[in-house]
Amino acid sequence: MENELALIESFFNNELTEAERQEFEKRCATDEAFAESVALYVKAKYGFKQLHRNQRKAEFEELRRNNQAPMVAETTVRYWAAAVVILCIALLSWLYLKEPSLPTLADEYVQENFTVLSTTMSSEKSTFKQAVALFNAGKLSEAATIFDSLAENNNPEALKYAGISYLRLDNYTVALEHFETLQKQSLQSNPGAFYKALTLLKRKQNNDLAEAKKLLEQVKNEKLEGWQEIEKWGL
Amino acid sequence: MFQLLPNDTDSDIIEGILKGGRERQKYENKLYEKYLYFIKDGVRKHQIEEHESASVYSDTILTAIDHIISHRFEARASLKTYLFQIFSNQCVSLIRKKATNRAAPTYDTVLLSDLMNMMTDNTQSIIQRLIEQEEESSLLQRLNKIGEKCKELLLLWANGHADKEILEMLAYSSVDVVKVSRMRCIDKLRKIY
Repeated sequence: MENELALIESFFNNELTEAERQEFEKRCATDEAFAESVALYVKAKYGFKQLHRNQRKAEFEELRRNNQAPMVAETTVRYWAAAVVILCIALLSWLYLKEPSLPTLADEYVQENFTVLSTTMSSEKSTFKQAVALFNAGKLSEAATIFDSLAENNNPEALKYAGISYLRLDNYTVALEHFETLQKQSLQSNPGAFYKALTLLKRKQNNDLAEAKKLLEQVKNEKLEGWQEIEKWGL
Repeated sequence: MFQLLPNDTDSDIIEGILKGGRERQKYENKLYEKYLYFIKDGVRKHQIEEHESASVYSDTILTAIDHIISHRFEARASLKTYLFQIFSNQCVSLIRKKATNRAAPTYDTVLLSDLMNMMTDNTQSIIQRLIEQEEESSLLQRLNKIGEKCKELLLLWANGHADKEILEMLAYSSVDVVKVSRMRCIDKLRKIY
């Protein structure tokens, strides 16, 4: 029987001569038992092939279930990843390299210069010193009230510090009033216009930015107090 | 989130499949996973159900694997194009089958006809008649009764693994033993019938 199956296998493997093939075909037609063996061989090969396919299809289905998320070609992902990285670099470069805006510069200036007031800058009056001490201790409202009272006679030093105190308190309207009064005074060195510009840049309302720019231009051109800082800003 | 597709090149996959042995299945799976997005294409372009598209895609991959093993795939077109043609044809066959409710030529009959075409018309009709006496489901049920060892051996054989590969995969002592064991297993089927 094994020899018979070996012959059948040789036939399907195209290993028989033409004469042997003809003999094989003839035997199929005349020998029922032999034909049954050929059918058995075909059924086995076909059947197991089908079984294998069914198994593999089930395994593929399992793979598909494990890959339920939308499949994207890795090359496509790489292109997207590269694009995202380039965009991030461009964005970061822009953020770091771009010229800081005027309001940012104003914020930085206020932070650096209006956090602690120098006592030597103040007058010798003890009330002034007390107000400066309160300001430096963070008691801005109390300091502002004292500077306000001292500014009643349009004392430029008191007007300046009162304006700075209100600026720190984000009370821009009152700060502007003080700096405008200061600006109008005829002094050898008057920071009024510069501080007014800073206040407008902090307030950022309606036309504030345009007005601040005009004031900064004026300070720069007329070399008023603050012009060196404005040059540093690159205006 | 999405998942990444395996990035093996087609030639890596073809080489891996042709290498045979246990590695073959790994590369077959890679091929299956690489073009999984065909399933969505099938649903969109041919308006078939997703499970139908998935089944057609599995058939497509298995057909392509057969063609790779038998060197019928000659790489005249890219593997992707080749797969896409088979996939599209099978989708169209499925649609026709659904529309006419008539058995369109399916892969199953192609499989059988591959073997039948080896014989002259006369022999074909004799063998065909004997095979048709048994329904396919009944045939598969019988084959499952042959015992695990024989089943494993015959599955590999039917799937185109050479005796030398089977020798290594199932730890037989020689190629001749593989061949004799295979004959005995086929003969064992006769007793089951």
